[in-house]
Amino acid sequence: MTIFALMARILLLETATDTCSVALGDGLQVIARKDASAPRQHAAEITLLIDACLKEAGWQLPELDAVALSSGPGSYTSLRVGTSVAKGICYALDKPMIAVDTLQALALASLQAEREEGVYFPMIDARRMEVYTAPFDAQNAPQGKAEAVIMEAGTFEEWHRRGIPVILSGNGAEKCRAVLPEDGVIFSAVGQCAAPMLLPLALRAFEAGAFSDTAYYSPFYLKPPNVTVSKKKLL
Amino acid sequence: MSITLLAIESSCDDTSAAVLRDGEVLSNCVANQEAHRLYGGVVPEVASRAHQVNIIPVVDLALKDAGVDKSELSAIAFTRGPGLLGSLIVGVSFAKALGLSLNIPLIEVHHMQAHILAHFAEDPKPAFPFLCLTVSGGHTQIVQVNSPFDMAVLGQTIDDAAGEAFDKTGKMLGLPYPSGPVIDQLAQKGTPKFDFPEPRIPGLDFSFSGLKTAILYYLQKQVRAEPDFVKDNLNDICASVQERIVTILLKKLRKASRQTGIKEIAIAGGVSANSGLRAGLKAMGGKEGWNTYIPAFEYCTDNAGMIAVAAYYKYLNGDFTSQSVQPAARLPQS
Repeated sequence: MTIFALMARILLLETATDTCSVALGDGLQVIARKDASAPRQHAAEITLLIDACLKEAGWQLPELDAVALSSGPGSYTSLRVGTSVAKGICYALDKPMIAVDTLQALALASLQAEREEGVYFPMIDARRMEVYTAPFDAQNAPQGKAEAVIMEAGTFEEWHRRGIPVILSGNGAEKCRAVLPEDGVIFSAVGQCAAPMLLPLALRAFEAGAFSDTAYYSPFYLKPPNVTVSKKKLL
Repeated sequence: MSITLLAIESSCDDTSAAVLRDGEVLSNCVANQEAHRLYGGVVPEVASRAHQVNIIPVVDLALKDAGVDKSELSAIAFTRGPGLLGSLIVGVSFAKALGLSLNIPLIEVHHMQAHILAHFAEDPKPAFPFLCLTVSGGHTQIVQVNSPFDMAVLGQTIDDAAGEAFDKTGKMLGLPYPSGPVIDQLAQKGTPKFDFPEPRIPGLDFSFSGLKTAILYYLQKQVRAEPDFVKDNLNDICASVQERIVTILLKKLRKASRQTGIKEIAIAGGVSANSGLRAGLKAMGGKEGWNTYIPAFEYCTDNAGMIAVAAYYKYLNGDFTSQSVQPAARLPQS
């Protein structure tokens, strides 16, 4: 049986940042969306938000065609909640799981909002002056690897020199105003990651059959665990 | 209608799942995380990441081992706490998603109560009320158990857990982590000829941090005088440390028994796998006229079988949890 992507029913889970966001996609349409009542409420609220979305749409979980989740990079704890819930649903109901690159989804949302020529840098806040980011062109194609970058005045020097505008979005963008030059930098209106942003890329993956291995999938942590082994000899 | 529960435990570094039907544990699967050996202790971020990839294979294995299909489950049980938050989040979130997807209730379980109720997985079962000494790498407590739902902590450690005393001694001696089982093996070949101090703690509480320091200072002093002291006396050091930890535990247990008049005495938790503690309990039980209860090895360390047993009592009692539940690194015991 072939399910056409435009008819697909996809549960969308965005848990890369502080605000947990859930939505339902019916083909290209987002037909329900619920966000957590406060930051860092993923563990308590995510299944309630899913249930509320389903009730609003009049759907049952078994009727879904797939579960799409934001892959990260982002908050480890938040990503773990989203990943565990996505795995639980997919395992329980034998549904395919789709991992959507958080940065690409954010870049696409800001591209659709701004319609500017230039290079898009979606930014996930990684505390202090650090952000997780990657470059995307005005067709939403990745132009480099995702990295953890400590923002400073010269971070985008090369793009400025080439006269290419830099378009920043995401919850890590705002703090860059303090260090970046004004010329050649556009701040997108797209600040927070939200579940509806996952839909276009989720549909594309669904159509291509690009599913994740539900059991062995891990979020995109970007950094290895920070482990220091004590070399101190006690005796 | 039979009652079939799937239980999930992910409070520390082991991912575990179990299936129980009508009070009988049908399967109890544990995925250990070897990675922590490299670091000499549990690294929370490493543990959390490992749970994330272990959870489905372990749950799937538990269901297959039990010959149970997801559709037959009556409820999903899980460890809510206490434990490492990043680890708990994986098990709790997965359990909630299963409950939502299969449209069945959730049962939250207190990890420490589950260690105690592990005694009801197999015969012989202690009679209520009984006393349980629960000892692990994270906890040391004496609990009066009046029923599966009524437990009172009579005493507990004011600093380190007994299991920590084993692990930290192992670190000093250069033994691999977790050191408890290694010290136990070496101790069996040695004699407890070194005398380490017994802490004076009032009531039924415990303290192990002073002992840890005393062991360190003693060993440092000996090594200065005799560089090969540890190598030459390893078995005897292990025997001495183990003997001291076990006597601290058992003396308080005897005190609790005499105070309460309860002679049904159980031990639980990872350290209850220690041969010195097992033998010591039997010996003391003989003198004091106790009925003693020691869990099978698979029910000593962290496992989901014990979560399933605890959840079974809650199921019979109609004690379910809502989907708004979240993990708790610290969780009061009653």
